[in-house]
Amino acid sequence: MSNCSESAGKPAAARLFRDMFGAGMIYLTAVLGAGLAIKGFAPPQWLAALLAVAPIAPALLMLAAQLRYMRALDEFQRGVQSEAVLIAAAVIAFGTLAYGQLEDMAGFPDLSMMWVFPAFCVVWSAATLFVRLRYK
Amino acid sequence: MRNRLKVLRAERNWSQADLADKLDVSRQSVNAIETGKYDPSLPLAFKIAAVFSLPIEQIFSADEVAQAAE
Repeated sequence: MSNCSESAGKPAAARLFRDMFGAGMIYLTAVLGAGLAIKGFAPPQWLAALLAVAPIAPALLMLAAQLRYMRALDEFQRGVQSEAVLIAAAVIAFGTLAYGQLEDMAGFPDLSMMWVFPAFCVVWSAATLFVRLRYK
Repeated sequence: MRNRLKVLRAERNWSQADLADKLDVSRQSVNAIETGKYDPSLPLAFKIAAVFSLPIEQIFSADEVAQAAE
């Protein structure tokens, strides 16, 4: 996820990595477990829906880690991250809109919305590097 | 906004990292302020003034004021 710098940012970045890794592992385990349970036991639809959204709980831990990271940064770094988040949000919003139109109108293959969040994280990281270049 | 951070820091033989530690910010923040690419908030500007034991106006000046003085 987003990297940081020395002094105020370095411990925050290390903690973010640790928290994101932990929450990510729990999330993956929950996704795999829910998938296996739904396929193996063919539960009623309400239970399948419940199992399918259950991994969102550990995913929210990732959001909490991100918020903790932002609060630990100094004002300059927070400004950089805020700009990077804004760029990432815009790229993902317009990217998904454009791909939705490609799916509907040009016959492109359907993609799962599950990829939106990982794509957002990747674009956020890239945008952080891009924004930092301006202050070099 | 212009500032004399680099000069004041050099006078005291402080590295950017030293000043960053004193201000409890990242070295990148000090660098961005020094190069004029980032203007600090008022609380941070006052903190910088306190670290250098100088009035804030002896460290920071508006571009127009600095140009008029030159």
